[in-house]
Amino acid sequence: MVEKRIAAGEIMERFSLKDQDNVAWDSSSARGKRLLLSFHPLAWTPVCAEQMIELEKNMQVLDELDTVPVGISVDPVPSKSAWAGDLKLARLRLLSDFWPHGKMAKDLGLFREKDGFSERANVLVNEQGIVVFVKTYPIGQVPDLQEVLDFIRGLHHSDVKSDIRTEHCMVDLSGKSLCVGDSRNTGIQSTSDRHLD
Amino acid sequence: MLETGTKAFDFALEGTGNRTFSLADFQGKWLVLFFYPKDGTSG
Repeated sequence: MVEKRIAAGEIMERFSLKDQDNVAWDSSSARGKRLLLSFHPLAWTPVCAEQMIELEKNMQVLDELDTVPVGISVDPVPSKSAWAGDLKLARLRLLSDFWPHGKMAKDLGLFREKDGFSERANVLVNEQGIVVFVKTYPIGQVPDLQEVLDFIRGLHHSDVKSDIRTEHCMVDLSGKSLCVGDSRNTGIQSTSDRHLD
Repeated sequence: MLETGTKAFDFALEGTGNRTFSLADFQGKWLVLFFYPKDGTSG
């Protein structure tokens, strides 16, 4: 069964996946921060490698923006571990969505059934556990991290000026353009307890 | 589980070197299918 793709405005359920060191990584460890879920198809492939290296290179910027990035794919832990070594990753956590195979991606409607791996996608979750940005990318294209950073900076400013409302537009796989307003100031915070507890 | 005496069914799997391997590729030869749990492990 194909799940509906997660969209801005929805609640991100708490999850736990093993990282490249075979340690359970729980999304509650990012409590109080934003969480950037960077889904990619497969370890050991060039575009995915660039996607992960981009995140590693921008760790400090992401720190300053109170955002914790994680790379997620269906590869098993030993493969993630060897790959992290190969990429010389110092801080980025690579999470294994291996078993049940691609469950996390499936739950978010980001699993490609015909391929057996996930979409290439960025999902940004705010401090309240609400998804604020979802974008999928062509399999052969490195995601534009700068666009995500700019989006976060926009949210950052709106934290100060709480009357600012942002709107994010994206194009889905069928080419349809979809715009989603940021509804953080319309009572959605009352549901935030479901996420990070 | 497969038992001895059973006729092997044809398969096609992608392998290293971007090649597809099928049972038919090994016709007339003995073939060992070695299953192992995961790449990148000592086992």
